[in-house]
Amino acid sequence: MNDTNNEVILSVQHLKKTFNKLEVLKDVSIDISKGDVVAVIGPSGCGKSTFLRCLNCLEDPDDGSVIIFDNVNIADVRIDINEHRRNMGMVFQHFNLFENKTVLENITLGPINAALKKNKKASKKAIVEEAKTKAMTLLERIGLVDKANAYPSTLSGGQKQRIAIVRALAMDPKVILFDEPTSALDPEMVGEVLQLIKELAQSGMTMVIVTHEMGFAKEVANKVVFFNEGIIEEEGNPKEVFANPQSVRLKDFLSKVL
Amino acid sequence: MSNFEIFWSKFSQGGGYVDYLIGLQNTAIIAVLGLVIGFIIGSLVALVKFIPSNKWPVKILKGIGDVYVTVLRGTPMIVQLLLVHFALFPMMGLGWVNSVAQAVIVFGLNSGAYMAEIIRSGVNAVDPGQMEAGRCVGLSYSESMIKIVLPQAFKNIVPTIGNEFITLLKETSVVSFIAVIDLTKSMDSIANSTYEYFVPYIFLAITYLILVLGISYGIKLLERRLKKNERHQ
Repeated sequence: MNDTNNEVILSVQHLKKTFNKLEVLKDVSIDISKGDVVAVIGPSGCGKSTFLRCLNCLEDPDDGSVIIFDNVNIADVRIDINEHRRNMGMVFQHFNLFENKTVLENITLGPINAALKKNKKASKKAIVEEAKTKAMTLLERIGLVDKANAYPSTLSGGQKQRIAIVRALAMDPKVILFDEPTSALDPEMVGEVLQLIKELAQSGMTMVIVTHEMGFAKEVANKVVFFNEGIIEEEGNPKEVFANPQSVRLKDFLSKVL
Repeated sequence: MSNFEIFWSKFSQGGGYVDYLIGLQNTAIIAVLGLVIGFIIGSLVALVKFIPSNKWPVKILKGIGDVYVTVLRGTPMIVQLLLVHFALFPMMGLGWVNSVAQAVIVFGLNSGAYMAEIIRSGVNAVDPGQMEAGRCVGLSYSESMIKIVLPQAFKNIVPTIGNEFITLLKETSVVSFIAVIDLTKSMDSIANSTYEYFVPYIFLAITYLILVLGISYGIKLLERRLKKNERHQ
């Protein structure tokens, strides 16, 4: 893992995003390779979350932006974004588990839908069974098999977030995006979620993580990106970035959060 | 004869109960069909509003929906009823249509305007994160809407739809203006022919109250069923 010579899987070029004349992202370019774990840090309102949401077009990037994912420019409005989102998982700050579905249904909804679309002739029953088996394996991995038929409102925050991660994993994504995955959790539940993300990193999953957990970023990421006022102000190896920050703004930021 | 005896002789021997049963039937038909038609129209109007497109056919549909809701909510039901029964239908050569059917159409159209707003606000009340999560597992906008957002919205609006049903039921009392025998009309007839007002109107009030309590109970049961996913397993 973390081999810098790996192929680039996600290439962002001149990404811009404006909300009603407010320039949130000014000109962001970054290459993310297979197996990379990129930690995105920065002060509030610097565009971190918007950057992440642009990566899977939850926010439409401005014209001229280029996001090459799987050899397709997904910033182009003419492509079928649903197809590409299936290869890009997303984990939200507030979990966003489907409230009207059981844990098992939460995990299998996306994969079943994707498989049915890809293979119109396959028997639905076989697809459903396969998705269920896979979901149960994943639940076993996080020790929540007994919650398969529970509804999200009965779970703790930590359980919800681990299930949200598993829901993303069940799609077999090429990249998983995390939008402050531990910010809405009670302190005692942060550990279990970070542990799961760490295991994913060790298994070679490519991930982009917006986070305020600096210790975690230092330990797990192989690349740290510091956002400030809509641009990437500094990026590099976590050891260098944290030990030897170059820009004044990053020094100031780190002095406040570390 | 006591007040009650006067009422009772008219009700039982004078054929009052026949009118009462016809009235009960008409009231129920108008309220229930009005609600069903209203729900269908309201769903269509609300869903058109949520089409994420600004192409002109969609814009025109959205505009029609807006005008419909504004006009139907902005005028009294009784005026709509009179207009349809005495002016619009005869002008279109439809004067022969059964008065109960006409009332059902007016109630459905009127209720549809309120339902559109109820459904729209129900959808808006669902956390936008639910739609985003649906999109992020590769579902399209409409798939996310159908599988995730609408079921949650429906659960939110069941109590409000119950209120709408109760309002509709009570409002059926205006159909006597177009010569439909409803509950109110049936008791009105007894009161006017016996000059004994107290008992028939109290009897009428109790009938409405029992119907409303029945609806409230049904709604509560439905709510409880829909809330099953908030219970621990």
